[in-house]
Amino acid sequence: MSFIQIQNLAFSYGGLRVFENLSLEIEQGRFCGIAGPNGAGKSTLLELLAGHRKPSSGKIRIGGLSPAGGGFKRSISQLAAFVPQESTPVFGYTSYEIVMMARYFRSRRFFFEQEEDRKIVQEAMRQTFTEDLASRPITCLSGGERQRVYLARAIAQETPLLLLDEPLSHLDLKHQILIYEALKRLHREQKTILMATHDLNLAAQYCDWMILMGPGGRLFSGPVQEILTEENIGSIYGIECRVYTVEGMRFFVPKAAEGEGKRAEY
Amino acid sequence: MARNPFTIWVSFFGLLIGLMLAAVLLSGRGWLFGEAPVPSRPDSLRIVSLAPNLTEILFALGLQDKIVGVSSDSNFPPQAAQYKKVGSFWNPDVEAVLSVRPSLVVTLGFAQQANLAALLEKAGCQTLQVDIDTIDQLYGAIRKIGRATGSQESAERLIKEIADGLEAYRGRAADCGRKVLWVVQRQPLRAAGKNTYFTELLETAGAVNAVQSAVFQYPPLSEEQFLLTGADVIIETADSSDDWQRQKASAEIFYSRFKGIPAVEQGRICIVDSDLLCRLGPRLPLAMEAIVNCICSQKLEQGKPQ
Amino acid sequence: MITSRQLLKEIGFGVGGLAAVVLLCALIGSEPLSLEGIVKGRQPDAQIFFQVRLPRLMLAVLVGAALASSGAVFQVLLRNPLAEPYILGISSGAGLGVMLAVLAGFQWSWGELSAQSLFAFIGALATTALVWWIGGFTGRTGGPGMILAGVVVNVFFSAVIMLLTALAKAGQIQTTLFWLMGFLSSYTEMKIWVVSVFLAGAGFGILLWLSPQLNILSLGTAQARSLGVVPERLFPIAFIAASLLTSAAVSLSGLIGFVGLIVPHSVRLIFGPDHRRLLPMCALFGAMFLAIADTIARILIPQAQLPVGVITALAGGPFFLLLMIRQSKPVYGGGL
Repeated sequence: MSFIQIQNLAFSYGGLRVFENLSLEIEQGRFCGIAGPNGAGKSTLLELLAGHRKPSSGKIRIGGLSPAGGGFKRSISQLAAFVPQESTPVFGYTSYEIVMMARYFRSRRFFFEQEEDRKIVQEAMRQTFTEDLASRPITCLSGGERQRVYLARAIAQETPLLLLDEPLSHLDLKHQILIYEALKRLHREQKTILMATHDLNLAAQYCDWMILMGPGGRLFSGPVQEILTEENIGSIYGIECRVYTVEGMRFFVPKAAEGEGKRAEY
Repeated sequence: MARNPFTIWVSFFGLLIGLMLAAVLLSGRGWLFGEAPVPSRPDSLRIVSLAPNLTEILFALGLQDKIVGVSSDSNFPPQAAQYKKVGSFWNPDVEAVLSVRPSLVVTLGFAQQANLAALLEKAGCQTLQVDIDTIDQLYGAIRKIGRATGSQESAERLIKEIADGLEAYRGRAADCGRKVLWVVQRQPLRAAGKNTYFTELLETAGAVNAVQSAVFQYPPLSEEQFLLTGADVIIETADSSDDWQRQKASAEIFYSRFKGIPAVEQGRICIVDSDLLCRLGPRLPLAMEAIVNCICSQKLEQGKPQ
Repeated sequence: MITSRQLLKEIGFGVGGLAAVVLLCALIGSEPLSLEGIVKGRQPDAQIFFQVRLPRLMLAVLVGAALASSGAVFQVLLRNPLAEPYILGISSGAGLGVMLAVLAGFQWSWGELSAQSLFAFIGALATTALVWWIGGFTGRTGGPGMILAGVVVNVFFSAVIMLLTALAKAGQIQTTLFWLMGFLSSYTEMKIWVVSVFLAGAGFGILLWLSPQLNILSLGTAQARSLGVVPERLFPIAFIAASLLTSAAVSLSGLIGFVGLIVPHSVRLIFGPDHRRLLPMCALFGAMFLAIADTIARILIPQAQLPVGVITALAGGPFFLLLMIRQSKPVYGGGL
């Protein structure tokens, strides 16, 4: 039985139908990228997996549990950690306090954090390069710094599954690589990672599984080598692109729309 | 090193509750374990009055030596101003009342001051609550005060004085003008209704209250209703003599738009001292005099100052 | 980062400070008291100190603590740092209850507590239930949705109060106005204190126990759910506890405004938004604030006892402004 099972999932926002009849299976331990044009339902899928929304029909099971249901103890927080796309906090907790919130339901004591919690938080912040942000209020951070803090929080939650909704969109290239490296490390520790992303190239380098979601219910799911092809990308995004292989790594370049303008020669 | 949260909560709440209990114990000083011993009544009569008309009554009964505190709006007789002020009837200063160690507190109503009444009981002080909304109630109140202070004779004398004073004006306004209106408030327009002592005064004098509504004591009047009253005389009250001039002037302007009312057309708008008319007290005959003078005069005039 | 030892130390200091403030305020008043007279039990010094001032200050402590801590909780539940306990209609609901009690002329009283107090309590709780129901009914259960429902209820009930005011007698209007302005009286009866302390303590205890979850809830229901909080359970419980606290305070002392807004906001600016520290500090500072405000209300104009709500409004505004100016860049605050 796969770790994540989605069967006949249907979901609508009011009158807008997002999924019709989606079925998907993801094994444990996969580092899975989810890509597709805006509005295809990437964030929605992650939110359904995280239990933030209930499906109109169909079944979702993570490790045998339904994310939206569950009582107090066996809630989804033990299994899946969620890194939101963008979030403006109302109150100015420090980054340290924000990351520490992940430990509340995992800690042995309910009210005060323990030494072991402190260690875990520190390690999570080290992995995401947010240690120097520890005592700054989260409302005073840039969007990219905030995203890294949320990632640290997800790591500190010590869940087998990480759900990330475009966690790198505000980061500069250097930090994108650093975070990808951190995620790769987590992947090696047997964590399952589902990440919505717009960057196909970096996804191609780091992910081992790929889900492409497109308009009209189009869905491709499989190992990244198989899925990321010119035809699939053209089908999903509606644009043509070319694949190049450099030093064994593939990357995709979209074809210019009309007329081949000047291009830099390497 | 982190302690069990349970002990923390217990100690926190224990501290809080302990503090509370300590304060309650201290503030009660023994009534936790039964009634506090009731201090004996002070030997002499020490009276506090919480309303200006009650102060006037006490003075009229000759009890001024026994008074130890008056309400802040007690302004008559002038000597009253020298006594210790203990707040107003609506808002008595509890501490001031207690500090004069009264043996009798006379008040018009204590609904919202049950707390003060309870504290006074504990100090061995008697409270006397009277309602004075009609002239009969005024007499009744004077009798009650007389009984409580051992001056029943003075009380009867005062009652007779007031009654005679009012009798002296019986029928004096009968042929001067018929309908009288007492405007207590201009905006919104409110007048004294049928069930007030004002009507009693008018009927004694031989006049009639222009307002016949018996639903409200001081009914609000729309402009239409005001015109329909057909009042021959309009009476307003003012607080001090300086205000009279100003109020007279503004009254002319204000009422000038109600052209259909005889009072306005004939210029019969009077200002009466509010200390006389608004207080049901020993000076009621003077209020009666002012009203009758107003009704029977030919033009704008002030009520006689005291 | 809070350790139990650190928190207890801070609370200990706070309690000590509060006790000192209360004792000092009890010695200040319109009547000069002699310390010797108080200690020796001479009347009226002792009676004024123990039966008028101390109970009144203890009530200020209770009401101030209740309003400030419930204000902090409403701010996090509604995710709005400008929320306060009355925003959800409690003020007009309680006021309407009082007005109805006054107009109906109920003479019933439970010791020193009048019928108006009971009606205020019922009115306050009923109104929060109504606002909750409206929020659910219209499908707007989030923070802004509830605030909207609260505004609607407030406006409607205020209109009803105005209608009744136009029909009421002068004495009744005075009594209601008294209530609406907020007042502190000296309750000396044990039974009233026991019930009040129990209600307030229970409400506060529940909220304090929930404070780590309230921290998480401030991130929004989605993120809170991912972190293990069940918003469908937490929100109603915290909401009811905070409403209970507020209703108890309002029934004892009328509508004292600004304490539930200024104190939590200021305390958060100083101590941070972590509710494990914020709630006890709000309680302590709310208590101190109201005790001092009450003392000022008693002595500002000789022989006139100003309603304490006047002082909280006058003092609260400039104080808050000062705080905002001194913190040119808010350290803890955000969202404004």
